[in-house]
Amino acid sequence: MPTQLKSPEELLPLTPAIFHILLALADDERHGYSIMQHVAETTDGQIKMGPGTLYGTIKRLLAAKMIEESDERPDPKLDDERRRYYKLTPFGKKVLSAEVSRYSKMVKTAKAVGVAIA
Amino acid sequence: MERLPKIISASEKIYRQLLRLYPQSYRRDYSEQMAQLFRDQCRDAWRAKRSAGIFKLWLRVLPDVAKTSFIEQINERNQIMKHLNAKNAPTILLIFGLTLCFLSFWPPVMSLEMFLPIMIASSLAILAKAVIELFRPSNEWLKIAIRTFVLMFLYALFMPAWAKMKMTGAVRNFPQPLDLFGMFVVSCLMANPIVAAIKFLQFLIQRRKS
Repeated sequence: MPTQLKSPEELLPLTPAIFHILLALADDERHGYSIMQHVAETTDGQIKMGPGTLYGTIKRLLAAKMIEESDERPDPKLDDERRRYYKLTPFGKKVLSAEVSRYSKMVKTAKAVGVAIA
Repeated sequence: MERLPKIISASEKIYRQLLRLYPQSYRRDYSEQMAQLFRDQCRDAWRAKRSAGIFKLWLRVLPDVAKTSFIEQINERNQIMKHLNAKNAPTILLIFGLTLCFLSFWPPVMSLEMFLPIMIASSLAILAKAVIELFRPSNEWLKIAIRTFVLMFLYALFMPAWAKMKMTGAVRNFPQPLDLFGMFVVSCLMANPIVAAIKFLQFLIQRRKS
């Protein structure tokens, strides 16, 4: 478990699993199933994470202090109490922003060299 | 409440069994959540394509379990190896050496004539502890001194008991000549206070220099 947080840039590039989980948590706190659904939706079903990949990545993100467990429940009546919710930490937000900037630069470069973007 | 088709409950049972492939600490933290997520995926797959959907889900989940359980097992081993670093090694060796000493009083060990190899292993562990401590930083002198005190104190209890065992003939395989064996044990033992004294002197010298 890292005792000192690295700078966000040191952690780049992120693996697809880490990037999509951080992206899923960018706008809301979510539990594992919700993260998985969000990833499948935003990638048009191209990325379907198994439970092992999802929770293995969550474990590493928790250790890196990029995400944390949330104590709050959106609506306890509508939800299973056993579900654990996760949210981005300020450090996680910085890492995600850094990765999105990196992607953005790459897109600009691709456009500059005439790569067609669908 | 919706009654689950048998294929879903059977799949979940199998999946729970597969979770045993993950290390214990990982299972403690995540197995319940993973099983719940798998159950949710099964329900989605059943609603979408019935049995074919469940079958397709298994085709995705099995490689996922195989890959991630292997990764987690490796990570777990790495964590254990991290704890076995030079800093913790003297304590681990001390516990190991003393445990073997305790074993020497266990009747089956005596009757099986295992006394000699066990005592040699114990002495080597204690000698290894001293050697590792010799290369530790001198500011750890207090920890080294405490470990040495514990070792010497327990040996002060063990030695009369071993002498009694020798005199009563409790150990059938007591080494002959005993002197050589005794010298070996005492040398391994005495290496520890000598190292503790060296580290303390090093500490004093360094403090005076700074």
